Amino acid sequence: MKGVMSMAELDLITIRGILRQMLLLYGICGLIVAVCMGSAVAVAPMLTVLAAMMLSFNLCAFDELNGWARFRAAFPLGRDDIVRGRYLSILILCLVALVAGVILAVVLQAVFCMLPGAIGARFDQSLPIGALIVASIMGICVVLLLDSMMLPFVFRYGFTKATRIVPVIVICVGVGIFASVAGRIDWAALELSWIAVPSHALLVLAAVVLLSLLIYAASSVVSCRIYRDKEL
Amino acid sequence: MENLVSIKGLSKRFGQEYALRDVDLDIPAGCVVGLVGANGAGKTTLIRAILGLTPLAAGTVELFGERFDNHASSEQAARLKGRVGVVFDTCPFMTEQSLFSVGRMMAAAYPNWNEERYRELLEFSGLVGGKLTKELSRGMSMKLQICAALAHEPQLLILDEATAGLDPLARDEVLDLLKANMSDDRAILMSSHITSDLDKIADIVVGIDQGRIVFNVDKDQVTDRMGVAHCRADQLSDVLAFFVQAGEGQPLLLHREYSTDVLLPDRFTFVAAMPQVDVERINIEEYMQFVLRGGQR
Repeated sequence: MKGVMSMAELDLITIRGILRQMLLLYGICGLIVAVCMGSAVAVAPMLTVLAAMMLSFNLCAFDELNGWARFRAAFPLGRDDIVRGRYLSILILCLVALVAGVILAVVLQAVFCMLPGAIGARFDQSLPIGALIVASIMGICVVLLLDSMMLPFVFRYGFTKATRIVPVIVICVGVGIFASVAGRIDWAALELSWIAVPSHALLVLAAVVLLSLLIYAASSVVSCRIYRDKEL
Repeated sequence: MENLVSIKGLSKRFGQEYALRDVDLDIPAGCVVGLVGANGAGKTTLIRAILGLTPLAAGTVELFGERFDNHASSEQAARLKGRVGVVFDTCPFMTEQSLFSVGRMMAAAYPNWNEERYRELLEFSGLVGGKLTKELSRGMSMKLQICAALAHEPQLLILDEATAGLDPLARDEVLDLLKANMSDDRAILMSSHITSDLDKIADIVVGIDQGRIVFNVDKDQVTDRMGVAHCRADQLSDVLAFFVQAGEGQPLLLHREYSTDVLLPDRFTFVAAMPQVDVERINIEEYMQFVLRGGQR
C-alpha cells in the first residue's frame, strides 16, 4: 500500500506544475459558459468532466516525456504499485475536479447575482446545488468508465498509441451494444417518472457510482497484469 | 568482495533477434564497472535487465544477493531498488518542475531520501534549487540527475550514457562527483561510448558486442600492463615467433596502412625481449578495437 501511495504522490507532484494553469483555464471556460447560458448550473458538471478528463490524460501523456515512465520504474516501486497508484491519483484528481467545479459554479452564481443592471437581472437566480452535484458525480462516473477502458491500453501501448486505438474500440463497442440492445427495448413503455423521487434518484446515483468504481477496479487488475510484462 | 549484482546466463530477445545472449557478469562492491560497446550492442538492455525493466528470455539477475526481475513484489522492489540510484541519458523530470520539486518527488519515492544531502549536492554541483529543469543545460541536467541519484545514498549507482553529449569540463565534473561518492561498500555500473571517461574512473571494463560479453578485464591490467607493438612488415614474423616461444599463442593483430599493430598482454616482458620494436601503452578504446576488430594472422 505504501508503494501505491508513493506513486499517487509522485503523480500529484508531477501534475501540480500545471494544475494551477489548468484550473485557471477552466475558470475562464466556466465564466464564458455562465455568461452565455445566463446560469451557472451547467458550469459544474461540464468543468468537472473536462478537468477530470484532461488531468488524467495529461498524467498519462507525461509518462512518455523524456523517458519518465522508464525512470519511474527504476524507483523502489513494484509494477503493481505504479498501476494502482495511477488509478488512485486519477480518482483523487476526479474528486479535485468535482470540488473545484462545484465551488466555481457557486462562486460564479454569487458574483453574477450581485451584479447590478441587465447582466445580473438576466442571470438565473436559482442554483439547485443537489442536482448540480448529482450531475457532476454522474459526469465523474462517465470519466471513470472512459479511463477504465483507456488505461489498460495506455499501460500496454503508451498514451499516444492508446489515443488512436481507444476511440475506435469505444465506437465499435458502443455501436455493437446499441445495435444489440436498442431493438429489444420498447422505449415508449419505459416508466422513468419514478426516478424523479429524490430517494430513488439517490439510489440510482449510488448504483451508478458503485458500478463505475467496480469497473474501474476491474480495469486496474487488467492493467496490472498488462504492465507486469511491459518493456520499459 | 561481495557482489552487489550477479548475472548468470542472461538472454533477452526482441522477436527472433537476441539483444543479450548468455551474459554472465558480476559487479563487486568497491568497484566502478565500465560497460563499453557500439550502439545497439546491448548495454542499455543489460542495464534494463538489472533494473527489472524488461522481461528476460533466460538467466537470472541477483541484486544484493536476491533474485530480481520484472515480476518482483512491491516489498522486494522497495527493498532492493531503494538501494539503487539510476541516471539515464536524458533528463526525465518535467520541464516545469523546479529542482526543489524534483527533490520532493524523489522523497516521495525513496524512503531513505536525504533532503539535506540533496541540497548539499546541488550546491556542490553549482545548481540552484529554485531553477526550473527546462532552464538547465544538458550538462547541468545530467548533474541534477546524479544529485538526485546520490541523495538517497545508493549502494549501487547505474549510469547509462550519463556523460554523452557533455563537454570535457562538464564530464570531468560529473566524474569527480561520482568519485567523491564511492566507497568500499558501493559500486557503480557506468555504460559509456566515451572510453576516456572509463580510463579515468573504471576499475573493471566490460565490453559487449551483439549482446555478448566479449571482454571483462581489470582496467589497470589494460592500461598499466598491456601495450601495443607497432610492427613493420619485416618485424612481424619475429614478433609472432616471440609469442609462440613465450607460449602465449597467437596475438590479436590490427593491420594499419604502414604497420601491423600487435596487442601485448605484457609490454614490459615484450620490450625486454624485443627492444627494437616500437611499443606504446594502450587505452580502453584501443583495447576494444583489438578485441572487436582485431584478428589473428
